Amino acid sequence: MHTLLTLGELLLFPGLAYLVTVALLLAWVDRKALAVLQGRVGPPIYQPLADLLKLLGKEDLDTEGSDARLAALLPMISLACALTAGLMTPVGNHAVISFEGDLMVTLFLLSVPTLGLFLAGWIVPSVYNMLGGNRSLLQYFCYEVPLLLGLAGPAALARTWRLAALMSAQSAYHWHVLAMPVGFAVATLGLIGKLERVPLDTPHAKAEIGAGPLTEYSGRKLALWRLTAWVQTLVGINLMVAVYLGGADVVWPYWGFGVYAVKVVGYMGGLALVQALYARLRVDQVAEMSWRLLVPLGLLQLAVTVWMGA
Amino acid sequence: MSRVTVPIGPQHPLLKEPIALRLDVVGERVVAAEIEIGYVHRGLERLLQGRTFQQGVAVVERICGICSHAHTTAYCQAVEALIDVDLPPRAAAIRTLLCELERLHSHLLWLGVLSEAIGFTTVFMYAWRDREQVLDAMELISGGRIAHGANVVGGVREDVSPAQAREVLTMLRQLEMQLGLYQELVERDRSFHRRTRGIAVLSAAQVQAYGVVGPMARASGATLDIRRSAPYAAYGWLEVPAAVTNEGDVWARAWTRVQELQHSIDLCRTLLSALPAGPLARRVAERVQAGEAVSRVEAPRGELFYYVRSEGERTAARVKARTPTLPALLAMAELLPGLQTGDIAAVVAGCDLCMACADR
Amino acid sequence: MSERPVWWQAVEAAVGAPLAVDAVGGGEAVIDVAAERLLATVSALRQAWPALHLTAITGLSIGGEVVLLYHLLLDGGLTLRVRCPGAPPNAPSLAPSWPAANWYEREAHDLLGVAFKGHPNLAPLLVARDWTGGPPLLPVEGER
Repeated sequence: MHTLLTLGELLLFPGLAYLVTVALLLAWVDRKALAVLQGRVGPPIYQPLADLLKLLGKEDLDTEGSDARLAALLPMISLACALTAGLMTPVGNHAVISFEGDLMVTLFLLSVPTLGLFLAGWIVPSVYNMLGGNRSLLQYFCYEVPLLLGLAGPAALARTWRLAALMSAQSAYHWHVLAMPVGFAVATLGLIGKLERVPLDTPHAKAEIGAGPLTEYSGRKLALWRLTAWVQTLVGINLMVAVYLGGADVVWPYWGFGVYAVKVVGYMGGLALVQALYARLRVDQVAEMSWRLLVPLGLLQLAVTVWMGA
Repeated sequence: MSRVTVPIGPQHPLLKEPIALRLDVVGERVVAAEIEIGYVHRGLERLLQGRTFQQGVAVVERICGICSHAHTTAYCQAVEALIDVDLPPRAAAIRTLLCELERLHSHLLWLGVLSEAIGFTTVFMYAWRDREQVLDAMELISGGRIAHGANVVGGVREDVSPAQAREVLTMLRQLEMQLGLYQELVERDRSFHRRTRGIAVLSAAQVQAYGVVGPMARASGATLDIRRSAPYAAYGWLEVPAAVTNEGDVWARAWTRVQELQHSIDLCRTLLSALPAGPLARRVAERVQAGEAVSRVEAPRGELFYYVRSEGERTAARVKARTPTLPALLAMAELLPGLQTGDIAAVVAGCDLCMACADR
Repeated sequence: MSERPVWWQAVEAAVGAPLAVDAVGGGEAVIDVAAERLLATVSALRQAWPALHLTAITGLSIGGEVVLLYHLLLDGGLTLRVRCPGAPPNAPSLAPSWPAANWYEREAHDLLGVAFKGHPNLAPLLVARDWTGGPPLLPVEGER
């Protein structure tokens, strides 16, 4: 019975089926919100699913001169890592896997797709893929540190690296975003960099290098990469909601899932707003912003938190 | 670091029309650039030979999809100079009105293209949405959104009724309200400044050396504007303000165009509020006396030049068009080396290329 | 002509002969310049007017002879008319001293086969690279 339950958790809720469905819905929220902000109509709610199914049905081409097996393997590994990370972040107030240090493991699992993307770009003999892959990796070095610093503040305050404990710590007093707004901003920008969204979307700046590392990919492989990006978005937002926005059970414990859902959608809308308000940064500007602004701010926030907590 | 060649075009998301840029890149910096055009060369200058002068209007209208009215204006003006017919005042005013409306939609299109190139999709959406209104107004007057067919040798074909004038004035008012947004963007938005300030600076000396014209030249301190220096059509009666700045970078090109948006709105208003009465066109003979004529028009992208030669027959002996994109391309080839790859898009979009014009 | 235009003296000195000026429709002047005096004339004009603007180079085929028109803009428009003798027709190239002429000359080379002496690169600009039909604007045997 217990095995069956676990299997259900893994495959249905809050595992694979749930994560994919919600990731697709969230992708719709993103696109719709951006459309409304830009004065457009936007897509219908099933559009991300339709895109995904259509891509899955398209001819899957292997680029001449690239390693076909590796090209097929990379998106699978990336998607698997993103989904596994999804199992560790709390959905509502429950995560399938929870242990001390799961925050770090989640972050690590989330960075696998980026490395996969870099490799995917690198194995294709095309300059767009190569430049895009390079930029992915460069950006990885830029946002990973601010994201980690941004998430370390609450962890230091609550003296735990466990997501569930961080959430319950917030229900004990108040949301971490109120105590550490700077850390929240730093972590959000780090997350935008991780998700390669405007203004930090240089790895696939359409007007410069086409689709970047994914330029030569099509069909199933492209569909899996897309899905990976959407799941990554969902997991990243889950993480931020759990660490900074009090997770699920702050206001009304019985409506935890609803509260959590509202926060996730709201945060997604916030990201769409950022996308609507800013132009893309250049690669050197990304590095400059990260190391000159975000890292010092993140360190400062962390230092203040540790000093206050001590 | 190794040197790689990044091909941009003839098909690339950055480009709206085919042109091939071959950029040699080391790391993230462009070290050499080569431009190849001619992908949409349709031999229109050859086609114009042996067509009657009236038929030629339809051909030159199809050189470009953005500044089609500027092309017919320049061409008709040259033929009218050959025939030595003067334009009725009402025709001159309507021709000028369409020229300015065209400038509005061309500049808005450009602003959208530039914004998209720097990843600022919101501005792109807004600019193109506002551009739709201008296209609607042009359709209202001429029946066509892109090819207006409004010019004929000796005048114009389309009248502007008082009701149409009111509708266009309403459109202009709505557009002017939106314009504040673009002025704010150009003057204050830091995100926009970061991607456009100090990039690809074109000096006044380079403007002269490459013969750059239009807003791109005016962004580098040149005052060249045919509407002011050699007024044609109704520009003689109008006060055309200068939008000149000295920065010479991509930002200055945006600033110049946004100023010109406001100027064009004002010019359209002035024209619509006092459209002279009178005939729309003079009757002209089909046969044109032998001779040659040149005409210069300030198209949205800059000085558009036409040369027309007649050998006394019903058909044209030679029609030559020099479009503003050619010198812009020459200057662009000079601007690209030394840029970061991330700036290529802003610079190429910022040069306001029209390949159909350049290739003919 | 009652009043001589501002460029008269400079051009006359460079051309080295009394000027014969044609008016062209559109109110701009045309001056005949011998091919070998073209570079000197243009550089004299550029010295006198630093803001001199090269608008276009028009290539014409008139009765079997190729004529080039250099359209300039200073205060008003001014056109230099240069006859290009020879088969293929040739002319001195402005491009080395004035980059603006570069592509206009390539275009004239494409369309009329004019060989510009001293041009850095006369590769086809507009016509296709594998085009073998000859310059499109030159009259073809049997065609009017």
